[in-house]
Amino acid sequence: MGQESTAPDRTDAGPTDAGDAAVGDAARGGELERTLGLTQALAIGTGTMVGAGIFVFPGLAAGEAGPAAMLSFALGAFIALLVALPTSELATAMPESGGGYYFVSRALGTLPGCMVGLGQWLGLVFASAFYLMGFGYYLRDLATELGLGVPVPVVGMALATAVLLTGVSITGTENTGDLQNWIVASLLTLLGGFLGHGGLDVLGVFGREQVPEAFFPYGVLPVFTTAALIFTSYLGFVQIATVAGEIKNPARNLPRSMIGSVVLVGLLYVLTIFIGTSLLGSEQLSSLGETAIVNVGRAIAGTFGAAALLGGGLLATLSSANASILSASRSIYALSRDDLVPRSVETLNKRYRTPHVALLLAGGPILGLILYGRVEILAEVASLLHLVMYGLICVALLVLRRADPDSYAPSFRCPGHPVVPALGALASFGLIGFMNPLSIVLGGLILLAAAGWYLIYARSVTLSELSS
Amino acid sequence: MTPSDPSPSSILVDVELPAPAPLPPKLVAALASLRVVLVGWYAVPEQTSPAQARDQFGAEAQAALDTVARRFAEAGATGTTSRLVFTGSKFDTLTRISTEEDCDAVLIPGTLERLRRLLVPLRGLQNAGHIVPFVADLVQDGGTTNVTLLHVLQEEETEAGVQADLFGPVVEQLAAQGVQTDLVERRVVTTDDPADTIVEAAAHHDLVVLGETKPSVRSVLFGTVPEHIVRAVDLPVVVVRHEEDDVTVAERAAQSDAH
Repeated sequence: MGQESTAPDRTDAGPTDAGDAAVGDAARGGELERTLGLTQALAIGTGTMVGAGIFVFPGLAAGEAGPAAMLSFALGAFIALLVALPTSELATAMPESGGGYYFVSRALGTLPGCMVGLGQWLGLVFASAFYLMGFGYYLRDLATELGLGVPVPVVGMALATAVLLTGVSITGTENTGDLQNWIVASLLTLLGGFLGHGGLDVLGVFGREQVPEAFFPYGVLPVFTTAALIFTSYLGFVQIATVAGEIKNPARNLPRSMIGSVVLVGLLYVLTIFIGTSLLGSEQLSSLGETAIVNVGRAIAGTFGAAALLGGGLLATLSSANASILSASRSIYALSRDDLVPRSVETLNKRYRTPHVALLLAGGPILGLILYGRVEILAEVASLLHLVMYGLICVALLVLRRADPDSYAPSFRCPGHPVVPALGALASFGLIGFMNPLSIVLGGLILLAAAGWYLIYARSVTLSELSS
Repeated sequence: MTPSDPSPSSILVDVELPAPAPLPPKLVAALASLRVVLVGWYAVPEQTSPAQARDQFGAEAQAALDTVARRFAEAGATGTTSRLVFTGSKFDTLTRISTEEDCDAVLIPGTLERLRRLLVPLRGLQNAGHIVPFVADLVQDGGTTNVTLLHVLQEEETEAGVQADLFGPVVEQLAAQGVQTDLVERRVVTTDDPADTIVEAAAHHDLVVLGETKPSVRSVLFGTVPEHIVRAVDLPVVVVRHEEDDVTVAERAAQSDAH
């Protein structure tokens, strides 16, 4: 007692074991608490993904590929899994916020990092606009179901919701993490119930006859183009890596939540298409458009089923849109921390302690994209930008394993190396080839613009830990 | 902690940053005989990366925490530890640090004009084993603080039994650690509502030292007894942690994890 008197300006370093609950960093003044458990991490991944795959795409996908659209979703899940395994290894080696951008910039250099980082930001902005359009369609259907004689303007509602979500993210200090968990849990329960019942129904347990139909009504090629179209449904798992710095026990929770969320939503998607096409037939499903799942609910459980899935669609598209805005703001923060965009972008609002500039940079462009209005293109461009990142993440793993720097010590190792990351890279880049030419042109232009930004603004920044 | 252990009991004091609620000077003085673990926590909303908050508010938060640490130093506290944490969950942070720093107790601040009467509710010997060394360390002021030991009689107990088997050893240990026994009052009460009885008794005291309860059906349904008391009382309350606390902490962390 008394051998050590207190210097008031003393900073305690705290534990520096990054695998533990907090990252101590005395030099920068203060520890960072890790507060997200496995459940929350799973909810981030699942919540970002489930809105699109079930509540927007089934009708569009069935129209393109017929019942074989379930293969498209399975293919998407397979590719996502090939990427989720390498991403898990990288995330446990570098449990830093920033996700894909961070891995690519450290392993492959600043230019690819800059393209991936800006691509991730814009990809999420595109995806969010797409989810908000989906939300608008659900609102319109709700008005129709309720028998309101007023036509609901889809674009207007989507715009208003984008403004509202951005405003709430800037000013909201209430923790909505719990709410997000509840939304995801109730969606999963709802879908589990419907898909379970619908599945038995399709198998003839309740004496229903299926709509007879060829499995490949449009041939095999549409399976691939549809997989490219719906790949937006698999963007969420990588967002878990963008908050890797806040996840408790990252060695355990990062791989489990990333792989788990892909497997979970993949199963739900395939089952949804299977049941939807069996009960209604792909032609009818297709004619119902973005909100086709509501009528699948009606076929299974009448008005109650339609109402439940309508509510589910509203919640799911809204939660996906919101999660994407938050992730987009995180991506921009990671870029500004590395001086690839101006530092002022990461300024926090003094009153709300929220990154108001970054959130506006996410919410603002969404308005323009909604006015542009071509949802399928929006979704594909979002997928394309993410697929480029996914491919480069796999390459980053191959490079890091080969270089094997001393600082590289992942606690989860990707199984099947180097086949899995090599396949992941090939599949990610390959899927882009099946996209709509307009999406490829738009995505390519965005990536070129990102490269241009690097050359003009950020050429002096060197981030790779492997260079020289 | 055993009586022969030379280092004093430790207490966790949480400091909300950047603008901490002022601690009463008498409370700071009363805690100065202990090893104080100051946890400065800066609440970060989920939209914000804690690292981002640290970049921007780190210096301001550290300065505010240093000001509080200086007050303890001026009151004579030695060996004070300061930890600055940017967190999305105050509960997670305090739970983690109380385990890491091996804190014997946690302070829940309240108003204190002078420390003259200390209320110490005891459930049994096992519970007392953790509380008594802490009380002895707290009352190192040369005999001006009255200590009231309070026990609520259980069905199978008798008052004489409690005096002999609980208060006897407790007072003995207090004396061994330098507390004047003539200042210790021993009170046994019969009641249906222990929490309310403690709240009532607290009205005639300046500070309460309580043991932590383990999660039970009652605590899950109605909140733990300490929580009930803490909410009902305006005094500072010191909650002494159990040794099997690691389990309790893990359970509660798991509960909050699931929400």
